[in-house]
Amino acid sequence: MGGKDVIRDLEHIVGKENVLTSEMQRRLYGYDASLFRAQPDCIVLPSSTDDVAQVSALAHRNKIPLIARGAGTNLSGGSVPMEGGILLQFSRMNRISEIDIENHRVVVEPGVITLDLKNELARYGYVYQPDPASEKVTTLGGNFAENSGGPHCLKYGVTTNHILGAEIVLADGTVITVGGKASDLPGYDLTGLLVGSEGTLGIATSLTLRIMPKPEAVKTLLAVFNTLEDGGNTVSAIIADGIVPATLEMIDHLTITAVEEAFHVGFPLDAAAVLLIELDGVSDGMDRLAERIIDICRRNNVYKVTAARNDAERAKLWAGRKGAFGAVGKLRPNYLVCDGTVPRTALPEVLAKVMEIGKKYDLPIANVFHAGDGNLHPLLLFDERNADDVKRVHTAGNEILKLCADYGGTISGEHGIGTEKRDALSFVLSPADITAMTAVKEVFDPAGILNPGKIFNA
Amino acid sequence: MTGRDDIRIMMGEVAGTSVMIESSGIPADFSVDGMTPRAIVTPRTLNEAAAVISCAHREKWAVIPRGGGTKMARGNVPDRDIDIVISTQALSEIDDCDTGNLTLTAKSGVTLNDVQRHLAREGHGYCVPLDPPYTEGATLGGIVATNASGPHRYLYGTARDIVLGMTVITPDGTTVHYGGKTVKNVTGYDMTKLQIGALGTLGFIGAVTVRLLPLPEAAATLLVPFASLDDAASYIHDIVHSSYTPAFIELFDREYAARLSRVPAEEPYCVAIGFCGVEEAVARQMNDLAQWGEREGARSTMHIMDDAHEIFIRELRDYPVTWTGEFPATVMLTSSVPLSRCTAHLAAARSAAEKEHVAAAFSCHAGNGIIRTYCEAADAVPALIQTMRHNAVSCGGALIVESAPTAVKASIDVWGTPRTDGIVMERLKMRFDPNSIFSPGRFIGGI
Repeated sequence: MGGKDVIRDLEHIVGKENVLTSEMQRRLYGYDASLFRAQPDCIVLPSSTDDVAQVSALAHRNKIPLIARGAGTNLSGGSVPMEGGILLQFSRMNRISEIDIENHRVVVEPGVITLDLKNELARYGYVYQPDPASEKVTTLGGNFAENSGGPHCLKYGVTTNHILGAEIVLADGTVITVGGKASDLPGYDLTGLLVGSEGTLGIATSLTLRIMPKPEAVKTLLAVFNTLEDGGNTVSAIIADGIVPATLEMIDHLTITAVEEAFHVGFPLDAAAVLLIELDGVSDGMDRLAERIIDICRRNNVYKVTAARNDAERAKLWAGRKGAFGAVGKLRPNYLVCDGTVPRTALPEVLAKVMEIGKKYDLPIANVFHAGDGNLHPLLLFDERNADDVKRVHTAGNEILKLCADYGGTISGEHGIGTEKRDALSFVLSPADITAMTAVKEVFDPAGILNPGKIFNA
Repeated sequence: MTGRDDIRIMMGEVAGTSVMIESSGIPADFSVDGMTPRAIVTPRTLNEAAAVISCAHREKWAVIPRGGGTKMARGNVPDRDIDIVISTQALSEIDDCDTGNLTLTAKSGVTLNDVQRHLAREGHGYCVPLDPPYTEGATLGGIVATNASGPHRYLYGTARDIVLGMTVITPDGTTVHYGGKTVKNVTGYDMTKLQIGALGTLGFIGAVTVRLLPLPEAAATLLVPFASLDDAASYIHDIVHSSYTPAFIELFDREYAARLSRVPAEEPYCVAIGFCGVEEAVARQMNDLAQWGEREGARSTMHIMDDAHEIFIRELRDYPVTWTGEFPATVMLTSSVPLSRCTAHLAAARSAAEKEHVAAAFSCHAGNGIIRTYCEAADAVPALIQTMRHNAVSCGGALIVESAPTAVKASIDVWGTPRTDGIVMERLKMRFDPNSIFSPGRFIGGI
């Protein structure tokens, strides 16, 4: 990587204690929630935009890979330093710089944990809407890089709809401002381009986010089904009836088993699937809307439908949903989560085919996903230590992504392409589409130092 | 340089005889800032459009895409002669209307109005949640290319929130597809964002996929006139910081109200709050906010329901049409400022216009910090723009000249000075359009 000189220069920029190089530290920052492993040459903990700009300029001069990392919860190998280099860890840049209620905005550093911001905003009666299941640990910088989703995206949109501006350090260390507190600033919407670019175009050192007042009322329903198909049909029917709830989440039998074992939230163990349906907004008319939904559930053979009676019950249901990935981890040592997304109308059919693929490759599949958005999350359970398992799981995962693409969907709804899905990019993008994207990459990062080996095959 | 006849012959050769080419007697409204294109090309398929653009790329012809032609006065005066205007008028198919999935894909030349009419007849009724001006003429592609929006953006957002996918022909004639028909999609970069509001500087938008919403069960507007701007501002402040969920919050002055058929213009200011949703929620919010209005000093409030509501929101949307009907030489401006600076910006703009003796009307998307200024193209307009732009930029906002006569454009900057990100925009433009053939010079920083 350029040896001791570079390390010394880095230490000069951020201080000796903020450059980590031990074998253990390099191993700790070498993985995310995917199956990929690698090691950075060193870990740098910047404390300011200026630090990041100086580190970038240094990396640029020396052609050293530069990888920004939040909490490493990403699921596609996006923050794994595949080619080594300098890993920027943002845990010191974790300040909420400004809570600007008057303008419905907050300004944060990238290392702020998503839930920390939400908890802070709750004191003002305000909400930052995106709610990735891992919000307890994920950083807003990571959410920016991955364009994270979450259950409430059905009504409120994904991260990109809530990031309105950023301070960006370009590959050569130049600092630019994109977007801001005001809307519709003239010029290309670089903010929108940068969100979800997986740290390959620039590094955000400050983010301007949209916040909104907390809804007046919330109603959470739990609908229990005897078959997965009935659950899927209910989702399609609710949307078709002209209702867009705040969330429409589905959890299948295998996931329920794991969740109940881990959290005891009260999901019925004999259910084939449950739907977690939430309405929010002005309280008037909400009961009637809930009745309409319950009626649709009944028409689709619901076995039981209940409403959370209070905040505690609601919180419990959501704890089950948000803890699902973790709970499933207890069933088998590993899982591969596919993030394929399909048009909502195709959901029941695709779901059935996903289960067939599981059978074909003899892999248990647990489903817990954003049904209302058509965003599947089949978790293919396996054991990393078993080479045959690993082979089958990759083949099956690929087949599922292909299936989603063939149904007019896409290979990733919210987890990103990262290292893992580069080969599957061609399922949905033509060579010309990819060329246009790599042209953007070359504009931002001609030397190719930012998070190399991600999204596109070299 | 090829002549008109040559363009016609070459277009026929590259794109076949079905391409309509107008090269003699070009209608005046096809000229851009007084510059008459050498030909108007109207492809009927995206393949034809791609062939035309490939040819333009080869010949280095300056190209300007055109939809319904409602916003052609946008942008700087092109920095070179225009060779061809590519019209999307014959690209008007709805390709895929998937209401079950809440998406629609259509060619860029279809008017939003036609799309809405089509959607209203499907099932329970659906809509594209966009309400930009020029209801009759504005096309999907033009709306996206200019990032046009209307009052309902308060609840539903703008093109960046609603566009899910796009087919684009890049300046070298390559057809590419971005995004798709899922609301969540992180497969590669979100390239659709680069086209939104780019005024056709990065390519030709061929088709657009948008998200849909079911038509609301109920919709209505509450009008709350105020004698003082401070009272109106305080009222709006209370609403945007409440848990009420209006569809729009419009604030306008008496001059603006004078051209609306339903609005009494006795008071100097009026707040119009729209609601969409379930009947109970609309009714309660109308009542509650009417009471709030009276508490804030409004002497009366007015409920606008049913057909009257439809007419009212149409008048709001199409205000630019009304205004230009009255003042053919018009300058329209859009300021964007942080939400809390909206009414202060309005007040300053009004007094600046008064000082400069410019006849003007003002309205705001008051929940978004967007201020629209409609004024006659008077001599003092450049001074007014300078003052207003200074005010907007100094609080982190911007001012765009939406439309102005070519003569006025000579003395003003349509977009304002690029910020630090201008350098990246310039590089993107250079990369995708190295010969600068697409909408040359019309965008920010002359790109």
